[in-house]
Amino acid sequence: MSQDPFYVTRIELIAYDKPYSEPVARNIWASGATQANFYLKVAVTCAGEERVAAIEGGLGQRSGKPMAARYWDYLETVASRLMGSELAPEKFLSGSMPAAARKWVEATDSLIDNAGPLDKRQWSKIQSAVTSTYKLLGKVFKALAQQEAAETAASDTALVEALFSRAQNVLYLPEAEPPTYTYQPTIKGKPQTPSEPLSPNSSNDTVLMLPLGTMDAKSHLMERECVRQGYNILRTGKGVFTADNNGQRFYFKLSRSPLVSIDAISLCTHKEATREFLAPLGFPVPRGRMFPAGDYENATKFANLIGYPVVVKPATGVRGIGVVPNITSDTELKSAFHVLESSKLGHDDFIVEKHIFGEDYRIMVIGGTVRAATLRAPANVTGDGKHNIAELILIKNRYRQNIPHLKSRPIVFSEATRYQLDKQGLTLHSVPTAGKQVILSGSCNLSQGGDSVNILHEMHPSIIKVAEDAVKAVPGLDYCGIDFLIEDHRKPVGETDIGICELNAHAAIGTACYTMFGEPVNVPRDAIEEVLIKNKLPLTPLPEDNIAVQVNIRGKVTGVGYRKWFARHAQRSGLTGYVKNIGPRQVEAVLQGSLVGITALTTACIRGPSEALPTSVRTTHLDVTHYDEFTLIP
Amino acid sequence: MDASLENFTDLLGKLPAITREGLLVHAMRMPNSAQSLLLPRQLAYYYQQIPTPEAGAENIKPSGYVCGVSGRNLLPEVNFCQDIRAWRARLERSGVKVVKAASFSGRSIRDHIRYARKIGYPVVLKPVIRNTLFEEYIKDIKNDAELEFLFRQSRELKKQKASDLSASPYAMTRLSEDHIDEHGRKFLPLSVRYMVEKQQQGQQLRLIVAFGKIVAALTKPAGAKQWQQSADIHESYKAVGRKVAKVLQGMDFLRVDLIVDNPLEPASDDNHVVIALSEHLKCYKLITDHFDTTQAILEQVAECKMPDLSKQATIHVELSGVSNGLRLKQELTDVANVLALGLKLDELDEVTGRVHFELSGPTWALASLTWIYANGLGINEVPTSVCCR
Repeated sequence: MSQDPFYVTRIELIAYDKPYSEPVARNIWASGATQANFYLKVAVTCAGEERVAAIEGGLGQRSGKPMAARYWDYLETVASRLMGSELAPEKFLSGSMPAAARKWVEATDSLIDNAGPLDKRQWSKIQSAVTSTYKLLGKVFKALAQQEAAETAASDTALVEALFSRAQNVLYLPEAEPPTYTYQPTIKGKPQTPSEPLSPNSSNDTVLMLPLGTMDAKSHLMERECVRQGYNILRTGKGVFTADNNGQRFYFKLSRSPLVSIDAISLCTHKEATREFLAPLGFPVPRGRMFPAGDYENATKFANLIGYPVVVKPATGVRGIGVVPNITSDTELKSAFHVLESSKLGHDDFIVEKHIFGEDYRIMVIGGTVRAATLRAPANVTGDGKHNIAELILIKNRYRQNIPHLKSRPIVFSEATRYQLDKQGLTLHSVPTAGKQVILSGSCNLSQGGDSVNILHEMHPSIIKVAEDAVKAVPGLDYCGIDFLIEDHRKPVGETDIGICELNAHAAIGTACYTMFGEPVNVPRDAIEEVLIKNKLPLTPLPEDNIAVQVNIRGKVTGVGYRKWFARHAQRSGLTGYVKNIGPRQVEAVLQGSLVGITALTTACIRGPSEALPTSVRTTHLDVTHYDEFTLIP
Repeated sequence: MDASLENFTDLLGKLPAITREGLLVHAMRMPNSAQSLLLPRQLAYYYQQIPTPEAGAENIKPSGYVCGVSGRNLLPEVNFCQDIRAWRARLERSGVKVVKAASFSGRSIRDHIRYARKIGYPVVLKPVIRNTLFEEYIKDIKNDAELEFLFRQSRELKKQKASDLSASPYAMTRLSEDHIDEHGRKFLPLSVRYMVEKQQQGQQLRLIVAFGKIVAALTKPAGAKQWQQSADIHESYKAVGRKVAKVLQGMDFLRVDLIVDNPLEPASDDNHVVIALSEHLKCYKLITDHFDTTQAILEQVAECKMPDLSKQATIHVELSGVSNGLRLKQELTDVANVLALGLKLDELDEVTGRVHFELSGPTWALASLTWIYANGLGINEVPTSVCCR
């Protein structure tokens, strides 16, 4: 037996979207825990020999709650301490814990989180986390010592698939090259010249936007820009707020802004109405027609009249629900009707239209000018010749977590992923060659793990003109995300096929703002500036690094841990000021610090901790004063 | 009013209430436009010149209306009107009196009952966010048992499609999961909140606001069915209407409903409350009894003078998305006969699903037929768009 030391060379730490009582790590399952919400895989190497063991455990089981986030941070730190450690061969092979193990599991500052020595409940939770992590590692090392058990864990395909369906958050992974994106379209089966590869973006806002949790960032982004322009905010719902300044008031609901009128939204939310409006004006819309629910006979006749391939979609659909693209025969069309019928919008009118080949683009037009063009590529990974597809997905998901808009939209393993891999003759264990792109989804939706790539710098001016003209033709539409299908965005209209799929009058505002690849564009900033310009109001931007606001929160906000929740987030975001109760149903706070940190917290205030029921949050500008720290006033 | 207009108001009365306002605006705008384009969900565009690809998109911008509501109203403001909790908070902060009410999620009927007991019966129950064109409310709820029954009944899911005429085309799309009870019956998602409000005693006062000014003030005493024009309501109520309009900046046209003790006496803290705001002016309810007022309001909404609705005219119409030429011919002939219109129908182009025809007759009847076809009112062969020149 070799007497060389063993080294920890690879660790995977994955959080589940909710606790599961059925174990997927079949050979090792932390006894005592009734439900697991994380998975830990450790690989050790000695002289070319690799041993892998995996275990599941349960910590901080209330997903999305502040304590859960602290547990994840703690586990991630334990994993980073463990990574690269040297293990003495005798001790390792006997299955006992290394001497350094106590140091690996030491409580971190974020786990302690200012818990005072008298806060017994908090200390017992911390102690319990440390002890259970130590015991868990003990089981891992015991398994690693038994070579056979370890090998089973590593090669179990069902395990990998089950894991992917549960994976919410990839916490820790070994160092790997960052994923890249290379644009290389194909026209009539012929690959075109590739563009320069793009590296992934990383945004500092991700940490500051943590208070938002699962809340949609759309409304926060609009609020952020209104606050930057000196407007005071009154928020009455997760997506609803008004911004006012000197008697001038603007209303917002998610990304619905005063740049859109009600007739414009009614036109944009009905795909057939959009086509009937744009087609006579000469815009490139796919040929198609709407049919009442269940009129499949006439729809099939029509598909044959215009010729396959066709697309079937609900007339008033959103988020790709019920859409079936690239239907090539009557049989496929019949299956598509079945898919449509069983979708949430299946009882509504539907459209059959000609399928246009090309990539999916969202072009943002604000005030008649194109501000951003984002290519939405289906979920994919690019091989490096070393990692298998499962690992490449985990690595990519790790990078997606650096982008606020994609943080909660990881690539997930689903039936659709399995179908795509089957089509390419691959499995999660396949190791793609360096540079080979593997497509993992048929949908370009970002929530299905798709990539967002800003390509405005490459887009041909003739396509930009078509987008601007189409939006200008619709009255009351000064904010629009226009969806195009384009074969090659670098070529002029005429040399490449293009088609307008739909107009979105309340397009997700974070798409271009936080892209995975390519230069991000601050679309919410452009939108709010356009609102002011349209209303002939001056632009008065405040410095983004230091603003001060007073926040008044009304509703069921006392006796529910609201101030503690508020103080924790304020301190994490590096804000100063104070928070105090000023009545039986009102909390007042003063915040000073960065614009992003402040507005993320004020947006999240309408939700607060789990027991709170705030009804309104008022944010008012103050002159900047100097607070050294954040204080919770009892 | 001449005989033709009587026929028009008679026809209006026979159409679903939610389509009447749109037809009134259409009857005003169609004769004043070079081209009208009627699209699904009561969406109508009126062009001053016939649009062509060569003319350029910016030069041919039409005026848009949806369900008779002007496109001058901005989207988030209208969404605010549909969200009772949002406009109540805003009005309260601006010092406008609103009816005593509280909202709760669908998870607990007990909270509703507890609050109803606290404020005292009778109460009114309504969804916090209105996703339909009509106002949904149940009033005269007198006790706990009635409230519990009606709460459950109102939450039961009605099979509503996005293409239904009653569905608001500009409301937020609701995609949260339906709640299914132990018997398999489907209910609105539990997150959908309902509001319990104190039912007020007194007269209803309706103020119609256009561009920040009160253009009509009507009252309806308790128990009465018709609105009465009230020229001498106290100026302080008009000031309340203007204040509400100022709060809802971005709504060029707005209906404000109040309950008041006496509209002739000055408004004070305890003699009036705002009970509803809406983008729907509901002119169709006034046209028979208060024609001049209705005309004045409609002329502001439609941004044109009221045309001579009985004047004879000829229009060219193109219907799109037609499948069955024979059924269309039969139905179209029947509708034209009922409205005493002359009809010259071309053959259906089966490839494009388009059909052209020429219609002649009184203006109100031409507007009515095109509106009936655009919105599939009582017909089976419903086109996807109607274009009139």
